[in-house]
Amino acid sequence: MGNLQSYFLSFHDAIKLEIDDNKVLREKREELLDVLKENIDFEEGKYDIFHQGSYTMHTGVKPFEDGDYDIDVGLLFNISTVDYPNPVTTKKLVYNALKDDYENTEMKYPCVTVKFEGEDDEDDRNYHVDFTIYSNENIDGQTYLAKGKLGSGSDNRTWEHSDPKELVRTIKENLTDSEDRKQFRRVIRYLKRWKDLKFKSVVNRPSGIGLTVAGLTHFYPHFSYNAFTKIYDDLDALESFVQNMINSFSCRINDDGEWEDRLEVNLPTPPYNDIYEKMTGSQMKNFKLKLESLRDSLKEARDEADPVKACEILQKVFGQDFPVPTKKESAQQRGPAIMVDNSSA
Amino acid sequence: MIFILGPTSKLKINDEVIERFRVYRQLESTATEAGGVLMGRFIEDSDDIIIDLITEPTEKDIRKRCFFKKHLETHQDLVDEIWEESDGTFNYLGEWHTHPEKHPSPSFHDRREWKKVLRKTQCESSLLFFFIIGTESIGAWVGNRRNVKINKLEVWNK
Ligand SMILES: [Zn+2]
Repeated sequence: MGNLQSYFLSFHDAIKLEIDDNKVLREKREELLDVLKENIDFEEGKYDIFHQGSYTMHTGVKPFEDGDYDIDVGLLFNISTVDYPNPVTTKKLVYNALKDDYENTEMKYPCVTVKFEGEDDEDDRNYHVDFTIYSNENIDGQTYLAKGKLGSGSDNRTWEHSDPKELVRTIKENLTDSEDRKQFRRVIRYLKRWKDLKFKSVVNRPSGIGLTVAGLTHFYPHFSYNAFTKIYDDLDALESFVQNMINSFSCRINDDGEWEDRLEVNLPTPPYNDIYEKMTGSQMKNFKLKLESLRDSLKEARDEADPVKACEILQKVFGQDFPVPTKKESAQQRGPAIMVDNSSA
Repeated sequence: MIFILGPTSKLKINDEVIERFRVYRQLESTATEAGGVLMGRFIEDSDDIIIDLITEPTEKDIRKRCFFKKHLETHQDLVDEIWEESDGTFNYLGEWHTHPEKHPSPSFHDRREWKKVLRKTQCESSLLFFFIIGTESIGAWVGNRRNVKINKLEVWNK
């Protein structure tokens, strides 16, 4: 293998998105939170703001092509589900506070979403901020997520047991060594970009959070020692992560009595559900095929001695943000050679 | 086509070069020997080497059924030009020639000449390579300029 780590690191620099690096994202979030604070009709109590989502967990990637920037904010209200039995009532507090200032405010089943048009000349992508609303002052000490839409009947709304802070903590603090942790985050980001590219306009595509949570059990850091320095190998780490996911598919009978080959990825925190439960048998089959094809390409790149050709293979997998060096860039510079006269027979 | 150089290093001949070798195979009983020099890259951050191109027989070379002598000045000029244009990244890597046999092995004359090449060439690489193109296979040998030892290279199988 030509050493591909430097190309992976350039790819990572090109796709990673940290909210601290992105002023527009940060300003949008603060602006909305100010408007919410100003307008909310909630004299009797208060709420804590809690940043969740991939940026907080250091697994955020820049949106691919015409995708939105998405920002996730948790609002932990100091209310109990006993005093507020209807979750939509609490969601309406947030919805009503924002809808007059922002025409693209929508109450979705799991959150309240505000959409923005991009204003930047260079980057005309759109933004959306998802507010998830929780009940956080319950006798049982637990947190509950408000689910339901405007006008949902009692069958279509619920307070769902949840532990968003613990989920973020579990992902942020996965692995004890800080450099191992960085490799974990890089590999998650590679996979998320791969997913954005290969499942473009696919319904029920495997979510980023699903891949991230899968990493908690299926990712192991890969490195070798040069004396006392760890030399990280992201290609190996990614390949074995993908292989471990493929190995974890297992057959089960679905509700129609048919066999399905499925990958289960259970949330490590309440409600402990399978994040991929909504994917159908055929969507799962497609997911597995794509994972296998990814693994094969990674192997092919590893076996290719010429980094120019290896990076061409990887660019097909990860898109244009994966760099392909020129032949010149891939080689060491050496001095001239003076040949000698010789013959062959 | 990839050969094993060491536990963590490989020598690859790019497909374009294989295509050129194919052309010069001595398939006909009248075909004369061909040869030239190997050029390519020392890959950054690794011990891998890629053979990207070769010089091919020119008018001034001597070509017989079982003998080839390249015109040194002509080939040296080609090597210099390619080296310069690539900012020193495409380097001289060794010599190649053809044999009218299926699976080639070096003649006594070949080995003696290769040792001369190892001893007298001036360049920044400690290794130089020698390829013989048979009618059905390619043989590759590596020579060390420090101890003038020559070893056959094994093909790398995934
Ligand atoms: Zn010979």
